[in-house]
Amino acid sequence: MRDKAMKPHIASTRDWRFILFTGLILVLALVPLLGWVYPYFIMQALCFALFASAFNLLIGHAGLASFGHAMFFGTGGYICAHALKVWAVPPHWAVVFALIATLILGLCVGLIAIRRQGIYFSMTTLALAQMLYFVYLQSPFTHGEDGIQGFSRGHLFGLFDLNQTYVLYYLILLLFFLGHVLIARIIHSPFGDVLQAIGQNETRAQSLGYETARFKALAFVLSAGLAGLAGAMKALVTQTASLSDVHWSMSGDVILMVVMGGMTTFLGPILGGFLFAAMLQYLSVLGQWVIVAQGTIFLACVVMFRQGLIGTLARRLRRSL
Amino acid sequence: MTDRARASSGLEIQGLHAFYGQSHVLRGVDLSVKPGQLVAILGRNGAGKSTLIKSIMGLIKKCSGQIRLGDVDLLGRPADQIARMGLAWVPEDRGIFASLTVAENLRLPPILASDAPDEAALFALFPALHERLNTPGTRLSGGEQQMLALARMLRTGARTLLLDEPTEGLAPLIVAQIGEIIAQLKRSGYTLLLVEQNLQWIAPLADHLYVLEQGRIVDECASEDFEGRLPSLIAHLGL
Repeated sequence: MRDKAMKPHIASTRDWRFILFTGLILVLALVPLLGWVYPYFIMQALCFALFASAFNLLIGHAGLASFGHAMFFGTGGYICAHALKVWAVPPHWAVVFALIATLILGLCVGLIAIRRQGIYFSMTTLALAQMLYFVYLQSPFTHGEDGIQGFSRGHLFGLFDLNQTYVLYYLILLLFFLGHVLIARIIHSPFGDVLQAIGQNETRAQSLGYETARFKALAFVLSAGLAGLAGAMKALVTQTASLSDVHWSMSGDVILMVVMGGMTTFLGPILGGFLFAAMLQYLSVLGQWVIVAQGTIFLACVVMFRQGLIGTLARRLRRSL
Repeated sequence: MTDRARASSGLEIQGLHAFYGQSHVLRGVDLSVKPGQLVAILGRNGAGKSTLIKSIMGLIKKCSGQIRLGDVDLLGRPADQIARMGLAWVPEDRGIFASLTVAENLRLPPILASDAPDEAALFALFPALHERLNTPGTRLSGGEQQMLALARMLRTGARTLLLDEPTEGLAPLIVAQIGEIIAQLKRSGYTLLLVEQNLQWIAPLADHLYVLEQGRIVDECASEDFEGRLPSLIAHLGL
């Protein structure tokens, strides 16, 4: 009886998100065949979109605003690049190492940061991220300002040469897809419901019988791991791992992506990631003024679309997107 | 849920003091709720009624005295541990989560007992909820939200229930419905502690009434003495 009672709800809320996300994946799968867009732009956008979705799992669902998420994105990139260049492992192992490293880092940072709430949580994550930035700046393995570059991407499972653009493209698209399937599973699980409850009223969630610190810690670790995966993907695409990906400004950029797209929505961070990549690509002619342009766009989004572009659309359509 | 909790434990509170920062809100509260009893706390706004409930649930950090559920002392335990002992709370604002649907709100709390009421039993008690499973919780009317909060609490299998002003802001018809549900819960052996301002509504349901004023119990009476004590209760409540 319990299952029967819940079934209609589960089917109806997922529909639109599922259809639109599937449509997006199909369109992206056709991009290389149609030659509409520069594949490197799409690959970078996919990395940012997964990073934004990973961050949104934390801020949009559990209500935890990390100001230091770049540490996971950057660490994923560094570990992947180091594993490929120095350890000369195949790319699939490089990605797995990056994932494991960021999960462990997420656990360590999460256990410290979730002891505090609100602005104190945010400032703790920022402080830890800045400490890690300094470690990376000084560590020989990161090559400081130069970063790790000039490595070969290698062959996936010894079969697929990732130095071929379209092979790499489909690998990045597959990882993006799998990352989002995992996020969708988390959001639509009882665990996801508890995260949302914590985000809205932690005391109330606690009084229902949940040890909220454990849930927050797990959400933090999952978000960190997915951000690390996005960082590893970006290192594979750009063949570079640099300090810019661990810099605090990258933690700000991911907030920008999520706010532009729409917090608490599933598709919003994806759109935010694509818009951010587009800004980097097409506003680069502005040089240093790109920061001003980004700030203006951010302000316009906050003033005109307080729930983000997808959030506003979802409200108009009265649908979950 | 443990066997202890399943047995619908009673609550014993002795010398309870609670503080919000420097503000001394509860000043030595003593009260007793025996297993299977319905006890009501009456009092004006600001008397400390909600603070008393929150103290029992472990949500007020600065407390002293004794709060016992059966033979377990609750003071100093975290709220999640207290909830898992079979104590459930419906707050004054009902605590419905805005982004979750009725179904999601309902299935949110952990089920603590194998014999907790299933959905069939809950929908028999609250038929309006079955029609609105996919509706976001906060789009329900006040009465429906109260029903959802009660259903969610019962689904855990908790046997000792704390209700903070369950009739506040509700239409008389809904208040009557909630009264029937609470009477039914009492008949089923649940232990209930209610905070209420509506004396006329709660008096016929309660086994024992306490009046809280400025953080102290200033009057009490058992249901059988209620009629004789009515003028005194009315005077305390300023009705």
